[in-house]
Amino acid sequence: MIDHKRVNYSKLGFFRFKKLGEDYLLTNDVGDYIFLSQKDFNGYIEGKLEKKSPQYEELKRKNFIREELNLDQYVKGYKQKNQFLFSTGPSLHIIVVTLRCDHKCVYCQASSCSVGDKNKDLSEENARKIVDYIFSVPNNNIAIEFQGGEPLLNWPVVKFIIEYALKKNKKEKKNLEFRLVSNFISMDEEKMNYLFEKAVVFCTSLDGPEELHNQNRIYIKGNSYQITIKWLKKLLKKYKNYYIYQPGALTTVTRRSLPIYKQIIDQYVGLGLDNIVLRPLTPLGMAIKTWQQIGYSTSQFLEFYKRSLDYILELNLKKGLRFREMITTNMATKILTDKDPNYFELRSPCGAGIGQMLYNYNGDIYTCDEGRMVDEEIFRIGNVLTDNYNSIINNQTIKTMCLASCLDNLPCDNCVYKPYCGTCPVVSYVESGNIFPQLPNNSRCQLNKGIFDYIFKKIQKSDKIKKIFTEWATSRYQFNKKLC
Amino acid sequence: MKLQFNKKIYLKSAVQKAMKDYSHLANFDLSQSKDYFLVEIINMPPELKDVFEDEFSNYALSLMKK
Amino acid sequence: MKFQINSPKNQITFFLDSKLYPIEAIYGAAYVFIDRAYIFLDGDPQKEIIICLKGKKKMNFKELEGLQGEFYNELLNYLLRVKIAKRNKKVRDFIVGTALVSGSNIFDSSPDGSDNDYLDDPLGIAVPWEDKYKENTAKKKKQDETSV
Repeated sequence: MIDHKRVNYSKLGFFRFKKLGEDYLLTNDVGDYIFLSQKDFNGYIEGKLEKKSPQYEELKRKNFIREELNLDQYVKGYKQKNQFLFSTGPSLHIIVVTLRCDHKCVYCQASSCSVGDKNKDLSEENARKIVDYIFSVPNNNIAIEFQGGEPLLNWPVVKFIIEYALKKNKKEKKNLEFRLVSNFISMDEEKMNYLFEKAVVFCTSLDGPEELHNQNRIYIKGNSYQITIKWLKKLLKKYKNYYIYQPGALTTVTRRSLPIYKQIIDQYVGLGLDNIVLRPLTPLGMAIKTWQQIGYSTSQFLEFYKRSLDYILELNLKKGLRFREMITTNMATKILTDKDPNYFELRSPCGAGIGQMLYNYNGDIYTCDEGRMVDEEIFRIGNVLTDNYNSIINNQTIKTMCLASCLDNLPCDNCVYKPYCGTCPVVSYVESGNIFPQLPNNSRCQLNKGIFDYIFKKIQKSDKIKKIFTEWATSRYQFNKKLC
Repeated sequence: MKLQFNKKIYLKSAVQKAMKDYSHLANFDLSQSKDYFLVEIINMPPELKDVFEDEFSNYALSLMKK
Repeated sequence: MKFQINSPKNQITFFLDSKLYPIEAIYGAAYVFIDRAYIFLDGDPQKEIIICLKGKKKMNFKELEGLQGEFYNELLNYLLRVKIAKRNKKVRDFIVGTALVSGSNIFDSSPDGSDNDYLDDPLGIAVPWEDKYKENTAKKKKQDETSV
């Protein structure tokens, strides 16, 4: 218990704290952290820690001691950790080339429609306008991500966008990159070779073993699992020696996934993938309707996450595998390195409108991927046919989204995990009708807190695990370079 | 039954916001005495009867943090 | 600390001196407990606040007592947070302001740091409040003693 009469405030730099197990965890504005025993914590806040003690040295080095603040280091650290604040406009541009999809996934967030509904395809004319718009954004980095529906169902427009963007970039000379999110049903050798030549980064959905995958990702005309595996294997083989960006897969965790975490992880390892994303369900789109069948509580997901992470760590520690869980990796990057992974959901403010924009098949622009998944049009910020970048970026919706996801304005400002965390206004809106999160009942808040608690407990208990997390976090940056 | 919110502790705007945000679940009537805002809950959903008032009060309090 | 437990209602009621525990700190501590308990506040923010905690799960006497203890602990933690934030506000504003004004040129500083004028701390914001005003306080004290 803190005795306020004994606290020596003149010695204390700014910090947030919480009790984690027997120790106190302290963090500061640049994301540095320290664990202190009860005794050392009392010594610190009372200004009585021995100056030669390792705890004092660490507190000093990490700028927790007010009178020993290294302002230069602090300012640089703040800038580096918040590098995304200085970007000159969004870099991720998601294009919905069609809303048509051949799957009927139980958790679909994208309000997809049937394969025959060609009215929901992006036209070449609108695609051209979208690319022109994207190149008008002053950011020198452009990542164009094809989404759907199933983007390969509108293959001519995917190809057109790639060709047109590459042509424009000959003059613009930006760092241009393409990504494709696909279920591979419409993939063929010709498309694969074309996409390979253009260094397109692939991402698919693989929910786990065949039975689970096919229950979640319903494809009436065939076996979704087998098709996904077939093309994923081909792509992994093809990309292996040419690009550092390897094809990736996401698993969306449903209630059926919870008990079979080992099989899911083993399958990813067996395929030669070097990571897995244990993505929790988001209550958007179809997932709202099917929540009773496939949903779970936050505590159930956290239990699943902990077991999965323990198993992955065991594979790393005992079998020497280099296999990562990506939510953990993103968080570990924020905790253990001086870099920021620029993961939009763990940013303050989030990436809506300022880090990413989404272009729908009809040219409508949304703040983000999640924003288009809400039935109402409240996250629509314009249309490429009628608006330019200057009018869009000054849109009130973007400003409001920034405000609602800036943790300094929220009760989150008191949380020890504030330097590492973020919030999604769209999810808050869907859950509570308010883009400002209604903490602490907000499910994302509970989820993030649970994961951060677990990661910090692991770091606290084992240097070996801390080393693994550091490797996961730092290898990320080595990975983000092209071989060719 | 009427819920009582001390005027010196709860802002009227927080109580009103809570009423608005819960309006899809029940109807509310706001009145006041010298020291309290009085909230009458009408047509409370029977399945939520045990927790409705408590959850409503918590929500009103959470709005005070902002 | 005095408290009353109402077991059938699953709740504990206790009283806090508003001079020691400002209402803002009580809001803050209450906020942390919202997912675990139902909280009702009453009383007078100028004198005494009445806190009533009602467990969301059924709790026995000891557990309710424990809940009160945790609330009190959280309140003390919250007070510490508030005071630390208040004391460090200027230096934090300065750090964020300097970082934002100097833009994204992280590595632009000259190797010898000669362009880092802000390190001179012209406003003395890195100096603890107590040190900054120590001289004045000492003078005033002396004057007070003389005048007595």
